[in-house]
Amino acid sequence: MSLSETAAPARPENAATYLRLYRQMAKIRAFEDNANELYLSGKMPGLTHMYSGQEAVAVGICEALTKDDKITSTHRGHGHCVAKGAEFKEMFCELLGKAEGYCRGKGGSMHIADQDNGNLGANAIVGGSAGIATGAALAAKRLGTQGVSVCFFGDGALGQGLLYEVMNMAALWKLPVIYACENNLYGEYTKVEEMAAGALAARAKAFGIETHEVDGQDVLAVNRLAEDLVERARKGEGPFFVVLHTYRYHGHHVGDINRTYYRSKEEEADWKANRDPITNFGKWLVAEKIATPEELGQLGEDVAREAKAAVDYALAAPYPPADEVDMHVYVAA
Amino acid sequence: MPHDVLMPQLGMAQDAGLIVAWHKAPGEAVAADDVLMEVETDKATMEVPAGRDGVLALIRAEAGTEVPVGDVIAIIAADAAEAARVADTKDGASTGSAASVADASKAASVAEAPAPAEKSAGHAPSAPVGNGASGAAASTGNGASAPAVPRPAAPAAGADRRILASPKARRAAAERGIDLAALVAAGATEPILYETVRTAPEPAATPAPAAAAAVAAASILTADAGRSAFDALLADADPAPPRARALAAFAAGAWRAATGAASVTVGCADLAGSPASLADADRAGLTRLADLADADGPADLALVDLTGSRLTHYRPAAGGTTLTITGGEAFALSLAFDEARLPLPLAARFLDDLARRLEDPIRQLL
Amino acid sequence: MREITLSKAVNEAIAEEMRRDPTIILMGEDVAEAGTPFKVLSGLVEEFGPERILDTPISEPGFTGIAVGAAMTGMRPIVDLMFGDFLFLVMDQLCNQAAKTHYMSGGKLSVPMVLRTNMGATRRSAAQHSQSLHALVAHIPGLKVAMPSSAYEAKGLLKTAIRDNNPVVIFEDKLMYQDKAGVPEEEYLIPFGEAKVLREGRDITFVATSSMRQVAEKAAETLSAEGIEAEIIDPRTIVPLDEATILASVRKTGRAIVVDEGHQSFGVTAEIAARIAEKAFYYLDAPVGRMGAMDVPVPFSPALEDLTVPTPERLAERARATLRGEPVHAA
Repeated sequence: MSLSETAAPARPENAATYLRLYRQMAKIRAFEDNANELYLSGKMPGLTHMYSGQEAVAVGICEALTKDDKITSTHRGHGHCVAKGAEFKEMFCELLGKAEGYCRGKGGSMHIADQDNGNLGANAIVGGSAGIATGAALAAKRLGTQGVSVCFFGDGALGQGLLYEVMNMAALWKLPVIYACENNLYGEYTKVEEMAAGALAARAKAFGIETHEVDGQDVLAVNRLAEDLVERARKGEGPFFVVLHTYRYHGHHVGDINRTYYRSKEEEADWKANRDPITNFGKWLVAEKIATPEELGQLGEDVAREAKAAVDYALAAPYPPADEVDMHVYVAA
Repeated sequence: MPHDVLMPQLGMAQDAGLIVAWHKAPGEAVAADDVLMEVETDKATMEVPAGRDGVLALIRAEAGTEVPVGDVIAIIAADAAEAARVADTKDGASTGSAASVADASKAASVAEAPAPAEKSAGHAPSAPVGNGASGAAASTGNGASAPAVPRPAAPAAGADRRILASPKARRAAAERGIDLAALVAAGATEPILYETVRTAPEPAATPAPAAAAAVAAASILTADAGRSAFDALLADADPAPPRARALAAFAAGAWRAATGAASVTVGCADLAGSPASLADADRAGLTRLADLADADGPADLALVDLTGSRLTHYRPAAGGTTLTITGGEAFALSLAFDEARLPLPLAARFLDDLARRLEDPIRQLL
Repeated sequence: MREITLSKAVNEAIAEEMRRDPTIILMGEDVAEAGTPFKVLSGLVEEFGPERILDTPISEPGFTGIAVGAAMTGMRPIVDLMFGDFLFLVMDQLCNQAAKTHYMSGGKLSVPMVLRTNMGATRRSAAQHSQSLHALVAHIPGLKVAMPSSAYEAKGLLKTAIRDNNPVVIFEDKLMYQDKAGVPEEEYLIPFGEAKVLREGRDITFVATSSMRQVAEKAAETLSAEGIEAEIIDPRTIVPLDEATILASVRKTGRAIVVDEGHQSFGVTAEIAARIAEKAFYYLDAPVGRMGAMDVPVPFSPALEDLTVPTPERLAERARATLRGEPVHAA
């Protein structure tokens, strides 16, 4: 299955949108490449989880949202953050624990939040943000903001009870929330089929929630579905549940390099060679004459340069002063 | 009277000594210069003389045990009969009679070294630890007693047992310069609570030692005196004077007789009342003693009345000439003094005379 | 001043605040028509409608999580947790999410929500409906914890909690819902972190939380007849804790016993006693005493259950022993 076979013919009037989808995915890839290198070279503290390979999911969905719509993210959250509009500089600063980070260095990789762009935060508890996304949808409905919220979570979160509790309430109360289940085939170090009985989508169907499945490597397909569901959610037709079939290129976390015990190198190579969301979408853009290979190459270089500059900036940026350690425990009166 | 043998302090920074061997067995006669035992400290092993003639009545710390400095390790009796009596005493209660020479020199040597206040106990009651030192104290109750406070002068060596006192009491004592060890020695019940310190007299207002020069090396003289006649005298007096004041009056009489002094000032304190300093109490008359005003000048002698309690022994950490009176059926008199200031013959004459006066008050009244 | 029950005081506080602020919603199990098993919330759904008084499924983590998300995005939810024992169910949402969001976001996000729940044994409800678990949440930075000791405190503290921009957990003693106290008609708030001196005394300080106030007051009355005057401090909020008032009292009396219905070990009594020991040590004339619930699951049998909680008699005896200077080794 390749992107060009499933995609509708390109519309020239949408060229800018297409290029933006491409650029956003390229930014995520560049961000993760740099984060990976920072981590492996010992310049980044803590632990971090790469989103590489899943870019079409975050970008396809977030491009369907307004700035005021809310998302909640996961420990594998850099992609969602970039896709929702975050800047490299503040993100790298956060990853390095610097004062100019989005969370003043207090959250780090697993807790990046970008309130101004509607990102309510990554969450280091698997499935832990399901309530928050649902609550944001409840607030949007109560306050009449027309806002929609998207709860990103992985297949691993299907094991968490909280998700079912809040999906039940979202269905009862018809909340404008989209549960985006990124099935990247592995929960930590274990295949999804070893941990999830039955069909993934059947879980939501049991609550009477409309469910969809989509190729998470096809940014256009994801975006088209997201545009539709977001619009319907705004009209009060939610909630929705979407399974996005995708693949994580790296291990569970940076440093999980010996992973043949749970998946083969051939499988990884196959996804990268044949299912890469950026490569395939680039081919389609060229085939549809939206962009030339040179233009895409230039775009890639620009993004890489931007990422490099942000890394250099973050490495040189100051840490938060010591007096911040007990700041923000409570909201100042 | 039986004599307590204490673990001596043989070095400057010595807390305890290891008894290597006993050279005498219970029941064996000893002379003062006889080697009684060998004690090992961190520095060396030393042969310790008995320090007094008599019969070794009891050994309370076997060879091989380490004993804190100041603890009673043996008792020497005057003769075989007394030794037998002491040995028969079930708990081997110490005599409370006197301190050893080694003990006295220990007090002197440590007096120069600063030590934490709570450690400055002059190893007050010589009752053994296992005998319940605090239980033997006067049943004055917390907060009710205002024990006499001999001047908390230079700290002396003593048991390294920490005195139990509440933080508040400890702070108040430190602020007022009150020595907790002295409170305990005077009968305060542990833990010492704030009320006890609050009601304790100002150290500056305490008797005699306030003025007298510190005793550099205390010698101890002891004497016994039957008390029935004295008690009867007090009972007949109307109004009856406080016992401590009456004892002070007797002591003043004996002091005047022994030294020929024109005027005598005696500081007196007991476990219940305020301390006082009385001038020429022997001439005031028993019934007027209660109203006798405090004297201004330095006291010649400090008297501590511990009768009425179960306290059996008190050795001041430092101070001037101090007369301690304890007692059950008879008064036990113990005089701590500096022979450089009060020669032994004079001290002996005084104490002997006082004992006689107490046994036969007519001597005082004449 | 009129006297109303604690239940009525809570109801009034919520109604007044909901009238004032349309972003306040209340959610929990059987909070609408049923008005909770304790009938504390009766009448609210009639006034504010089911959109603002939300009956939820029996899904404590779920609705607590939803409240966290709603609070982060413009609402002021009040979560009704039917029994304090159910805190164990919602710990992730309360302690990993609500408590940390403000800090983890570098101050950008906040969670202005209230979790109302209860505490207190001797209702013969056995081990899973009788616990007093306030120490669990007081341990977590980012949460505030209020413990009203009467109808007056219940109303004033709850109104303050609702207006606070932080997650607040407020514990009502379920035995006190029908207890009456003077509550003014006019509006009032009770600031957090301000303890109340309920009774002045010179001899010993009782620091008593929630219904332990009643225990302390009865013990103080008994002791007063014996010439012992106890001072009673109600912290009202344990986070923030009004240390200054407690320490000032202890500096005056020199003695303290902390009484709280949580399990004694590693709990509120330990925390307050430790602060007294640390910060008023040189004023103490006795070891700081602690009286908490016994370290046992709450038994069902009335004969056993009554043994597990502090009583006025035991507190009075403990106070006497403290004044006598007796070393105290166990409750």
